[in-house]
Amino acid sequence: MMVSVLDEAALVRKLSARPEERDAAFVELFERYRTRVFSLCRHLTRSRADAEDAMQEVFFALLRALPEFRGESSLATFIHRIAVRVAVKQRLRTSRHETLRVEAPPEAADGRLEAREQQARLWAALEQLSVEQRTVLALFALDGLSHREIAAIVGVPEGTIWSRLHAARKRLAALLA
Amino acid sequence: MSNDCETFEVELGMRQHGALEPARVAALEAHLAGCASCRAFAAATGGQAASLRAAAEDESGRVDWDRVQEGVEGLRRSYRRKLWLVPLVLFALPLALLVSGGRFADPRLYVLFPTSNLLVYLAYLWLIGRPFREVVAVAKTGEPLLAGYVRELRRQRVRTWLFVAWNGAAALIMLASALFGMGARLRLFGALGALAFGAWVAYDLAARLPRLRRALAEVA
Repeated sequence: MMVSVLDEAALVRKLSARPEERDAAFVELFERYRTRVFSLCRHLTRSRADAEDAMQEVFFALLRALPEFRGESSLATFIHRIAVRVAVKQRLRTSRHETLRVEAPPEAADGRLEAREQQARLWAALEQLSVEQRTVLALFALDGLSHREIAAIVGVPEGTIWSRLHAARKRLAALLA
Repeated sequence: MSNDCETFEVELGMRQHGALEPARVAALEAHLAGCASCRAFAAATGGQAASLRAAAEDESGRVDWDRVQEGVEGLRRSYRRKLWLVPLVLFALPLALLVSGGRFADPRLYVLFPTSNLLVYLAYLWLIGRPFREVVAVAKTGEPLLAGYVRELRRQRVRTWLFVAWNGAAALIMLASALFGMGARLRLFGALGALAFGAWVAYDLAARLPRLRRALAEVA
């Protein structure tokens, strides 16, 4: 879900207000961005549980960093930048040598079984990509982020973003072939 | 596959995200019409973004948002509790040094104990503030992600080795005071100190340094 510039400015104003108002605005912020932040975290971490942990840290870091937000970038860029940083950190914390967390498989109707298997293959293939490639793929998979915003989030020139995206797409296609 | 194909493959991604100039779109279409390799690449990668979105959406449907929100609140509460430590340490440490310093310490070690403790506490205060400064810094500047991480991880590794050296020395000094200290109080203080600093060194060596090494290996 994308937020208009006016909505965003109003939300930022509320977030800088008195504590009671700020808490209400934070709930609003959480509800607006939770799905996007979760998607990003999920693509960058190893499991849903890790993504949920990372999400908590993202919103907590956001709460602490918001007073420093001066509107030099959009709020979405600001949030995604923190999300990428926190999720990558979470990924590095849970080493690949650690035992994989076992998550209960969701109940699926027969018709959805194939889709589930495809998703499992996709997650396994993503696991083979480098952190840089996963990051750029995850950001491009989110709706509504321009390549300029993605370059600003990752902190590299726009040209680098395209070459990184290409390498990631190519590797993922090869892994899924 | 020619170098041209590589360029067109990059442009396929740009077109998918609406970032390709119209003149280049026409050139890309013309190339695709005559290049089976690029058509195959377009077919293999065309649905990736949608698949990634679908996979994440599927999992987000199973997230307990209330639990996540409660987790954020838990982190806030824990952070507020930690904040109390700052004034507590700032006031309690000089007070403790003033009140008890001359009584429990051997005159020869009188300077070493408080200096060691003071430095450790200052390091702790610095550690409390560091994550906050880090979040603010990255939010403002957007430093290149992995290069910044590698630098940070290397700095952490150096700092950890410094801690190991410093705390190891402190543990040895305190152990010496426990073994050869004159008063019973000094012996007890030395034994407890050696235990605490020894535990810190053991944690750094057994857990923290291997974790940093694994993280660096993964990023590299």
